[in-house]
Amino acid sequence: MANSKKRRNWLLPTTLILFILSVITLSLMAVVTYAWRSEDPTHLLTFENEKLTWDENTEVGENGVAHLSFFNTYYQNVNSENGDNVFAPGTEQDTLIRLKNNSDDEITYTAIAWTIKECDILELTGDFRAEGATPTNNYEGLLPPNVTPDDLLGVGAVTGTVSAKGIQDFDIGWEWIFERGDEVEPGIYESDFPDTYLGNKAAWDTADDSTIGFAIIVEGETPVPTPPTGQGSMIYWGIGLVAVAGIIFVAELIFYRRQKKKEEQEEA
Amino acid sequence: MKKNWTTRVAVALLALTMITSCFVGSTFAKYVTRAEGEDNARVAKWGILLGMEGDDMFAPEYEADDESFTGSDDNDDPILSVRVDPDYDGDITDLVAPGTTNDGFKATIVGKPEVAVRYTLHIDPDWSDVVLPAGEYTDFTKLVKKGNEQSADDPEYGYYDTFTLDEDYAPVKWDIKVSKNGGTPIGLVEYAFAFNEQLALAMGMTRDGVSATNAANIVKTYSTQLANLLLSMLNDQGEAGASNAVFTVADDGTIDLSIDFDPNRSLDFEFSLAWKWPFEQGEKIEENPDIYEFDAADTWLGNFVAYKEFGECEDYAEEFDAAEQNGAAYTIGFKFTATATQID
Repeated sequence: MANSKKRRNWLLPTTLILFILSVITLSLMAVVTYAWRSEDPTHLLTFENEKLTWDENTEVGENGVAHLSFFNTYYQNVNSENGDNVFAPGTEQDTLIRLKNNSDDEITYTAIAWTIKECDILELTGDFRAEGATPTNNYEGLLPPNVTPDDLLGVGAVTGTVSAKGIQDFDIGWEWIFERGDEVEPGIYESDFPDTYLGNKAAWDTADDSTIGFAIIVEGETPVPTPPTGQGSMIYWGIGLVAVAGIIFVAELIFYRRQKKKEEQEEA
Repeated sequence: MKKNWTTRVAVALLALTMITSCFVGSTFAKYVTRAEGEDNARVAKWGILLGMEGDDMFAPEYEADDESFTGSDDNDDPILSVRVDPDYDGDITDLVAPGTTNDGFKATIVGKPEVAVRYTLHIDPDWSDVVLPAGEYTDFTKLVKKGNEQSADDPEYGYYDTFTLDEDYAPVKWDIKVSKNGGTPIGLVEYAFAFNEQLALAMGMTRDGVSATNAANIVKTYSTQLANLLLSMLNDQGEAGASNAVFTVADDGTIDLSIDFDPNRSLDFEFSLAWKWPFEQGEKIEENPDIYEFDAADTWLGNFVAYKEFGECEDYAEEFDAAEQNGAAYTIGFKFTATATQID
């Protein structure tokens, strides 16, 4: 009887400790850390289940190429007549594409951005930045068929890694500077002549256009779970463990209190 | 058994917790996945066409308005009441005179750009206007009998009377007319008087228009009111998208008028400059024959030109030279430039 009581006395704290341990284990399994920029991305590309998926607001064509929003139909003092995306001297735009790694493992990416201009005198300049990424010359398989290395923006191809549940931002921007070159007359700049030519061509002939594109490859390794029972995540084991430990602890607590009460009554 | 099962379960839980916390998948598979996106845009339209006609703003001859005047040559058609002297060998052959008028200068802007536009009409600083400054001048409209103030050597009858101008007199009056899509032009002066007659008079407008000399002063003082009037005229013509009209007169005499237009507006405007030298200006001061307030000034200017260009009226050379020194002028001219500039 005395031994039984002794074992009962340590059983309650033991089950409590087990319960706490299981909660900690669960939190370690479930902890997700994201480092967000305060700025909302224009497009969100999520990596999960070995696939890259654009956000629901980004249209994807039948050929798998997404329709991104690098241009607009209006800017300050510029407004498209027919709903086409346009650009003009003095216009500019920056676009943020965010890669979100929803998997539980680190991934490696290689990304590029490019621009193709229909006319050589079109002074549309672009830039491509990815903080934390490093330049690379290894971008095999990324270049679309009609894009050459000379068309790449910024430093060219960049590569880097994204930790599990981490993010990587890609900034793609362009601008058409309003006044460029020397001022040949008061208020008249060298660039006014080709710019006016392009504007008139857009009005009286066919407008020249420009394309900006973005491509990314993600590589990684996915663990094969053991035993291969078909479960996809250990998180459910953790939840089950917590539940069982909790139940055991509560049951032990109830039994312990009843036992104590009984002993007190017997002593009385 | 009852006591043993809780202990066993507790031990089992501990084992499970330890196993789970250090569980690591021991097998990996490599994958490669790709995503691509793009966007496309075109150059925004410009397509603005500017036009300007003004070579025939003034002319060497004008038709008669008075039907009672038939001229001496029955073969003349039309009958001219103003015509440059055929023997004149000077440089300025185009004329202005009381009763003459023209609206020959036109500036046009056509297009529908996809960018905002600033349209500017610019008058170079070396513009000139017919002006007789304030002062006292010989009245050439009245041949009067010599009075006591004349000397004994003066003729019995002569131009001994004078007239006084309290302020500068610029006889040629201007008006800006605006029309859209070839419609009926609306004059700024008429619009101003219809909008607010008191304001128009306060600005120095007359129903015949505004002289170039006075316009410069009006713009300096009433540039905002003038700009608002012009904007109303433009926007009343239908969806002009006009804003920010600005009249300026620089210290060097440059006059600029600029108007902003929104993107995607159909621009099809004609700005015409009309001028007239009213035949009879000011109040009627005598009747039978009718004499008007500024007839003496108009006559003086006519004799001034006769002296300067033809060497006539030399008896009054001293007065004419002094008046010229004081700012009297008998030529009128402007150089216009029109520009259309994208607004950033």
